[in-house]
Amino acid sequence: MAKVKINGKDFEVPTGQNLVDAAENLGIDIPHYCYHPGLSIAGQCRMCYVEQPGNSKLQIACNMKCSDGLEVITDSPKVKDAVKWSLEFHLINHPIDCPICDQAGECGLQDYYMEVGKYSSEMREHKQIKQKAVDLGEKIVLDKERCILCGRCVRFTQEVSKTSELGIYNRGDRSVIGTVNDEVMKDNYQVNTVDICPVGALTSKDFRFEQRVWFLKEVSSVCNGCSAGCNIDTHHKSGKHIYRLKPRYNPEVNEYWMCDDGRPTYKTANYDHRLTAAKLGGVELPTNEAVTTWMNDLRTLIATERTDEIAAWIHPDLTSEEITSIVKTLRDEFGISQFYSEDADKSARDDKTVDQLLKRADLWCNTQGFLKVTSALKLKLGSLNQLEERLAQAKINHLVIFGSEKNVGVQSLKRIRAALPADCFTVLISPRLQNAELFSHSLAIPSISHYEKNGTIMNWKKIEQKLGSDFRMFKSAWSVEEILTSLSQEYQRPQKEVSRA
Amino acid sequence: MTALENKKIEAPVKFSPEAQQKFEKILTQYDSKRSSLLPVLHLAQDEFGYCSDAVVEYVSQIMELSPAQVMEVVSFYTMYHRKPTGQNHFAFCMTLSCWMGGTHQLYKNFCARFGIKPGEVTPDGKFSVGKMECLGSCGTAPMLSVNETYYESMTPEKLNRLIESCRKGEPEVP
Amino acid sequence: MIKHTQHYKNIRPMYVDLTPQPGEKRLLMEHVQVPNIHTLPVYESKGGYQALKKVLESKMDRETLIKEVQGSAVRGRGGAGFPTGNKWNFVPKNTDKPHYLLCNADESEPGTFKDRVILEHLPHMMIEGMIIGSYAIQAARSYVYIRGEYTYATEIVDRAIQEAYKAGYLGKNILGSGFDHEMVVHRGAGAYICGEETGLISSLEGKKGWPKLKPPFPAVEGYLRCPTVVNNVETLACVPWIINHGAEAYAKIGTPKSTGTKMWSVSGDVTRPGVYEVENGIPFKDFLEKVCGGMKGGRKLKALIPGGSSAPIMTAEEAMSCTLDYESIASKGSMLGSGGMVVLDDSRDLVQVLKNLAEFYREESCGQCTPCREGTGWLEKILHSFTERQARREDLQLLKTTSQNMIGRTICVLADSIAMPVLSYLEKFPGEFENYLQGSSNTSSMSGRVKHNG
Repeated sequence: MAKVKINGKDFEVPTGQNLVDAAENLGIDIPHYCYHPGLSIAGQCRMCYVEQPGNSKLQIACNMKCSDGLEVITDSPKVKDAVKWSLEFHLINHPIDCPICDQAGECGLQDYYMEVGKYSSEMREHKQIKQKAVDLGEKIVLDKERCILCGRCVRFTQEVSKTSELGIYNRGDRSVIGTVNDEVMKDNYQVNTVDICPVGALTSKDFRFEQRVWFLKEVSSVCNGCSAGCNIDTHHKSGKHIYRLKPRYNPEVNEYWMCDDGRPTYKTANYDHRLTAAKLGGVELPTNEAVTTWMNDLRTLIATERTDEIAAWIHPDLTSEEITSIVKTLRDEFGISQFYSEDADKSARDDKTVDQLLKRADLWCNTQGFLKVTSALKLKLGSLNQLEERLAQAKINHLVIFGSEKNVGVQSLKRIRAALPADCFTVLISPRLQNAELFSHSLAIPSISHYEKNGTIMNWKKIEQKLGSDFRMFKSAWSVEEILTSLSQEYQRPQKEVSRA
Repeated sequence: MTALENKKIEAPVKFSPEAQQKFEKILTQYDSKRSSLLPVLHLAQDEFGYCSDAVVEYVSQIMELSPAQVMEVVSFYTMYHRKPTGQNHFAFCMTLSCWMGGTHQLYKNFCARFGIKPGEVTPDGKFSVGKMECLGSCGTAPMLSVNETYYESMTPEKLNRLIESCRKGEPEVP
Repeated sequence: MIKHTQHYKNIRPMYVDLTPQPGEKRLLMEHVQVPNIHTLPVYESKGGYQALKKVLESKMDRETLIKEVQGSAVRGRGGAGFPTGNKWNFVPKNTDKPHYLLCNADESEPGTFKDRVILEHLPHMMIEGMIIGSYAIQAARSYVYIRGEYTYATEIVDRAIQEAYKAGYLGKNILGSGFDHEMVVHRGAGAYICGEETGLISSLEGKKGWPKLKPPFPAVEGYLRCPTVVNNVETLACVPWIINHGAEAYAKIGTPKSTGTKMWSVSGDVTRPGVYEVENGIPFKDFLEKVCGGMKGGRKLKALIPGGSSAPIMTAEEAMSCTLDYESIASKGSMLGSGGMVVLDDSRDLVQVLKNLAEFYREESCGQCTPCREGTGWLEKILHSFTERQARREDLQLLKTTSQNMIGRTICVLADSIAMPVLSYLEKFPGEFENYLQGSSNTSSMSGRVKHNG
């Protein structure tokens, strides 16, 4: 640890830590644009000035590492004036696009302008004109005028994603950022540049013009795109609609980044894709009634000791808590013995990195957790083939399907549907509307999507991570634990004998 | 137009055997491959006339860099031309001593005479014009450079003679 | 594809008269007029490569060699004026990384063309200095970074290097000393910023000429993150003389803080523009009259730019009372810089001159850091509005505050190179700007000459 002095106060910080980071951890904000802890040091924006006693020339904090005896001042009038003028230089050619710019509300220029801006600009000359709304492909739009040339996106493509697709061309105030001849970007990590761009120069097409950021709330969770388990923040508006995912820093899992394939995974949580009400044979009913209906059929089979005619289908996207709840309720409480699932062993065996960076081949997000929990609970699992056989032999009269919200589970569900006899009572528990449509004749109970869950999943490195959520999008969609608890309560309620429908 | 529609498909280029030899010699003179980028671009420009998209693509392949990294360098330095120049590229020095000596007037007259601006070529392909910053010949101001050859202590008469000689295909000796 | 007309790229050197003038003291340019002095045999016949032999054949201790250069107190002739011996001394002695010596022949400072004389006529002197310098800092490779537009000079230097290889002054085991050295000519491609030390290093690495953050300093981490020393052509050309005649002899010439001689490239409104070598410390008055032949057309001196366009301007009184050395010029608020002297007579409109300089710096700013990139553009636009007579009175203060907030705030000193002149013009010639504000009847032609009505 090093003893440093900032603004006259003594602090102990890790030796060698970058001064901007150290100050941020101590709650002291040093303004900066071009510095990013996950990228190399550029020193281009000239915002992070600090004063060193004894040195009349201001220094930039991003090029300083904490060492014993370091003394800096960040809030002297000289520093404030320098930052004010640096911001002024940034703004003299910056278009005042705020009313139509997505970045408004999380814009580096806006943030510091309120603190240290000049407020009355003296720039009377014509601003530099550059291209606006340049289409860089499916994911990104570039506005070259808004760009403040901090170079973060260029350094990202050179150092992190290693495609070097972006560059800074020309000299002086004619400099522009972009691809060669404005070609489309092929990088699978390109939307990270939108995250790190301090202004609205790079904007995500998916989020463009969708929502103002001051209406959004963030909650920390984990991406369900693959077994990498990149940490993310879910950005939603009042719990009604999720607008985007942004990566969250985790030095052991994903550092500061996430791949582009994980970003659209929130879409399956939104209205268009969701089963919003329980259905029986296509007719809507309240969820608690659906649970009762389910229990009625189950009860008959339990009472007549025909639990060997009941089967359940699960998948490795379920959280460890969900799997535990399923086993404890269906197997331990009701005596169901047949459980079938996707081949998690194979997924784990075939799992490897797809691009030497983050994305992995195993598209299930909790394969390792699934294997651990099922093994700890001594759950015997059958394969899809075995389930199809049993269905074909008409040996199953009651099937409980837990359906994933992702595309990766659809193939198996289609096979199950094809093998399903007409008189088998089927209960589908899934957030996904398409799954309910596939099993349109059965009882469909809406469950919550991945980004509404609280629970634990385990990534490929066997690191346990917590999903987080503070919202529920639909009152009728319950968590798997809630559904099973309600089922259990229903079971324990005194009942008249009801014959099977 | 989207970026895709705007992209003209150019035929790929390749070094001649002589140029290839020079290229390989250049690589031996540096301790890192990327260091030879500037000399290689000079070689490519001499070989192919100007740094077109196909040239940038080719250089990025042989230098094992991305096209953006090569294009950054091409767009940064003034001597690499992104568009074709005329058979005689007149580059006028516009700074300080030359400007005081009157190159601005010479430049304007030249542009007006041929009706071209920097980046354009006359219809017969013979002349193009450019504005340069200090070329390091202030003592012999005003001066200009034609195809990288310095013509010093110019006057309007000398310039006219030079233009005529270029038009005939036998440029004057400086 | 249009083939360029074959031009005479490598036909002849700069067409300037190099006859010695009274008042000159030629240490470097002593033999510049000898025919074929740029070839090895003629150079050797005039005492060339004696210094190199002295150093290598005696296997002179590197510490001693560096001390000798430090003792001469020779300062960098490229513009910064940093003591060369000290720069060589900064290179760490015991690293396993290769060291490099880079010769800065990217002469792009407006008003400067003195290195061109050395490159075109005395390349061997520079090469000799480079080999000695490389020996001192243990560099196995050196590069001559020569500006791309100097095509004739490139050819001459290249031929000279080949001659040196043939004679055994380059290559393996030079003069039996055990010292190996390779020298390569590297052409630039047209960027003023590549004349800056770390900009040159970036350019040599095959990137844009973006200057690097300091620390780390090039002597510790430079080209390819190895210890590197960057020296100007003229500085390296001084080295053989210092070795041949001794540091003391060199230090006796000139003034104590500005030892030796300096090559001045003079242009503008003088009778004899050209390149002259004089002892440091001679009065400017004598230099102007005796060496440069006085003002052209007998006009009066109005202002002087002593050291290239980056140097703040001097009034006629300041110029006439100063001597040509680092301290005297600095005491008048300017700097000796590269020695690119531009003389302005009383017919010149200084606002137009300043605007021309602002255009230069705006064009040449690399664009890496914000104050310079935006500030150079802003200054040029404001000065343009002056020359278009659209300026307001507040713009005078705006020029001042903008320039003040560019100085010391950037990665390299290009921003200072325009900001300091702007401040000096505002301070020393306020009347010139007033002319444009009050809508005076004076009009200016494009060459900056004031045409008086009536």
